[in-house]
Amino acid sequence: MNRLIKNYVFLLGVIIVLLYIFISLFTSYITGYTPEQMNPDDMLSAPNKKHIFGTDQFGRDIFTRIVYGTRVSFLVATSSVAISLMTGVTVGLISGFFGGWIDNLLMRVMDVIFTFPAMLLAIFIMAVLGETIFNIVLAIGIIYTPQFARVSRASVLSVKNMDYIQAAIALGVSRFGIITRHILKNILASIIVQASLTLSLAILLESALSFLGLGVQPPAPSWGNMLSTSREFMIIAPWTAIFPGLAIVLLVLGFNLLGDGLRDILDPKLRRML
Amino acid sequence: MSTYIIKRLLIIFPLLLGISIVVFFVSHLIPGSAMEIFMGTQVEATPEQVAELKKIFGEDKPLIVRYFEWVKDLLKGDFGVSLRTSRKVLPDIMARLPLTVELTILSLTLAVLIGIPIGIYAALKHNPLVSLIIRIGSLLGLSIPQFWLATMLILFFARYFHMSDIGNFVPFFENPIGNLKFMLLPSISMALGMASVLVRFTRTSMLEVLGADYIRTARSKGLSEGVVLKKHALKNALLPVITVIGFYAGYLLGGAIVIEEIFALPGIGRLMLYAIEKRDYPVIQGTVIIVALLFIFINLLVDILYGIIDPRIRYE
Repeated sequence: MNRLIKNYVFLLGVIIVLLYIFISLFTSYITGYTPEQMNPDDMLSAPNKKHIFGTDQFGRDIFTRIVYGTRVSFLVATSSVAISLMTGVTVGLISGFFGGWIDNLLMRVMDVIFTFPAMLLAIFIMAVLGETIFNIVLAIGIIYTPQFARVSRASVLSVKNMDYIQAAIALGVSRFGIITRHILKNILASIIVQASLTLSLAILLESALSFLGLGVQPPAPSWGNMLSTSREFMIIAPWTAIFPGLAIVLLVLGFNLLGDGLRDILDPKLRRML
Repeated sequence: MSTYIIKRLLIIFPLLLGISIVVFFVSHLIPGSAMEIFMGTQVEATPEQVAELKKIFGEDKPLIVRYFEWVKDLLKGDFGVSLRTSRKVLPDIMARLPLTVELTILSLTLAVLIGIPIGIYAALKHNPLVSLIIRIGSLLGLSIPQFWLATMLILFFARYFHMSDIGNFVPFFENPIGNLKFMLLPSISMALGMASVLVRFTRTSMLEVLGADYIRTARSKGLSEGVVLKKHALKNALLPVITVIGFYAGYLLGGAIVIEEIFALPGIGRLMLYAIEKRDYPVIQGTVIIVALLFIFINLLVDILYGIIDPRIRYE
């Protein structure tokens, strides 16, 4: 625990992520407005006491929309990374443990997903399936599956021939038991690090999709679609473009710091180099 | 060397097969067929006309047969016809390819020019404070969305330099200076994230090399620090950095799609997004395939380059 606190990078990441979790849980206590509440008398007003981040072209409070946008980002990022993690780790464990043609087949499938630039595949899937939150989660979930598969496969291969696994096999522990009880526990550290870094990628990808109009659809507030509509007004009302972007940067930074700090803590071999 | 290149080439075939399968079958998840999209909702057609159209679109055959026919056409360079303009898809894509490639190369160059020197500097000034600043700074660089950085750059130049009109795009070979001026902001927006990655990677790689035995040997035989760094350390430290470039080429290509849209650059990305808006599926398929091929090609190039520079790789 002492090591966790001493790692400033990790600590800063935890503080940022906790702040956002707090915001997304207590939205209605944090702001008195609702995200879709319009006010025709107060359009595009600069940041002031009533609206600390200003208002948009419909007089909606930007701070409130960012606060509610936190929920959307968290929902999309965590559920898509949950899909990537579960599918990827399952694929990686099976591949690494059984080897042979199963390994070959599964890894070639992962390679193909990896061959598409993430943004390209995301845009393609969204264009075909249609712009619903479920589809965004599915698309991002598929795209980041190979990373988890590779990390867990590599970890399985590195522990597979160790004495304690061979001993478990000799003792007659079932394959399933070995995977869940002995191998999974050992690769947990690298998977947690990967998950944290993938959360940051998922938020970036969702915001870019929403920015292009292929993600979360207005009037639902998402940081990406707020930035998309702000393009028309940003010269006269820069606050419409500045604050939602800062919200993205800070949360993504939070997950990056968290993942980076964790890797530092969990992998002693890397520590001397960082 | 040639066996190494052949080996690399052989890896590509299953990937190409995979790409074609993904693009074809994902496209057919669309509700409604290409023919229905082509006809729209306003047109009344007799059953005979529908059957005739189905034949033209090849929709009278089973999906799997159509897949093989489609692949055969692709191999002949026939990417089909746009549902909106009735023009051939491939020439339209190829006409826009140079811009996307130029944008990718420019941003890659910028990222290398910014990232590697800072990374080397950080490795040489090895102290806890510099380490922490470099570490958080590079994570921050990675956390800024390309499209937001682009928006902020436009905003900044429009408000403070009154450059609300960033002018019109001119091709490189017509007016190189005008072209580079226009491409500067888009390239910067794309380069920052990759530069951040390069800073970290160069630094780590350099520190590792500086701790190696052969550097100590070089120093102990009395070589000057400059020679040790230039002749021994730098060369070895920069080798692995090349692989990062291949890995992040996908990040740049994907970024190009969004950046082209923001700066209204007539590249493949913009063509793709326009086709998506118009539900022009043959064009969407074509652009996805070409960008994926470009990504594979860059990685192949990087692998071969790496094999040429570092003979050890060839024997693995």
